[in-house]
Amino acid sequence: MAMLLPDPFDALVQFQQALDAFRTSGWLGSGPSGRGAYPLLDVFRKGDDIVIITEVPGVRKEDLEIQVKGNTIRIAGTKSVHYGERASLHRRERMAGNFDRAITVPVEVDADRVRAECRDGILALYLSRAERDKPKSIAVS
Amino acid sequence: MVVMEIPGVEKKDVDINLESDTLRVEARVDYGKYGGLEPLYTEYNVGHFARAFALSNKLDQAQIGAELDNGVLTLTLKKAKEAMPRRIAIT
Repeated sequence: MAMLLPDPFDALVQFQQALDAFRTSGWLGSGPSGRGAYPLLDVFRKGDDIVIITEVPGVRKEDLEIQVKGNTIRIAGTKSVHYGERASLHRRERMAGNFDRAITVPVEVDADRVRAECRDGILALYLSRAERDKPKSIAVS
Repeated sequence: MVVMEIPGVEKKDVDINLESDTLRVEARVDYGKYGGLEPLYTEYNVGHFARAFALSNKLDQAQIGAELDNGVLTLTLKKAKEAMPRRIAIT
């Protein structure tokens, strides 16, 4: 009995298309986002507040965009690496490109009281816990 | 030119030493800034930076410039006069 095999050329074409889509999607780009999450984040607690610290050396303040909604914080921006006009590269370890990442914290954040500081290549976000989210102590009578 | 990233390091905490053709860069992070913070979730470890480079004698070791901007340290190493290309005129 003859078996019904799928057209091998059709399969090849589909495979080629899938590869092309993957290649052109930007996932394999040379930007920092192509090498896993960027920037790396450390999250700390300070009393009731949350502090997010991240390393963004060489990223200018104006190239950073920080948004807060509910308990999600988005950190996006562009990192550019300039070597000057007449430079030829011998070795390149630093990456450049766009980045965009979001982090959800386990508490509701008061969006109006978020403070962001960027100094010496370190970005620190100070997030205050929303008043209505804070636990209330109940006195035992 | 050597450009390196040393986020979180202030100018006063960067040490650049040149000893027998080895350029050593050490940068220390001020841990005091992390005082009172309790880690909840960490993706990277905060620590000091150190790296050494072997310099060829084609560089003028007396002229090394260093500049720190926004966590990026740029070292400018000048080529020695003897290493510059020389034009030879036909007589």
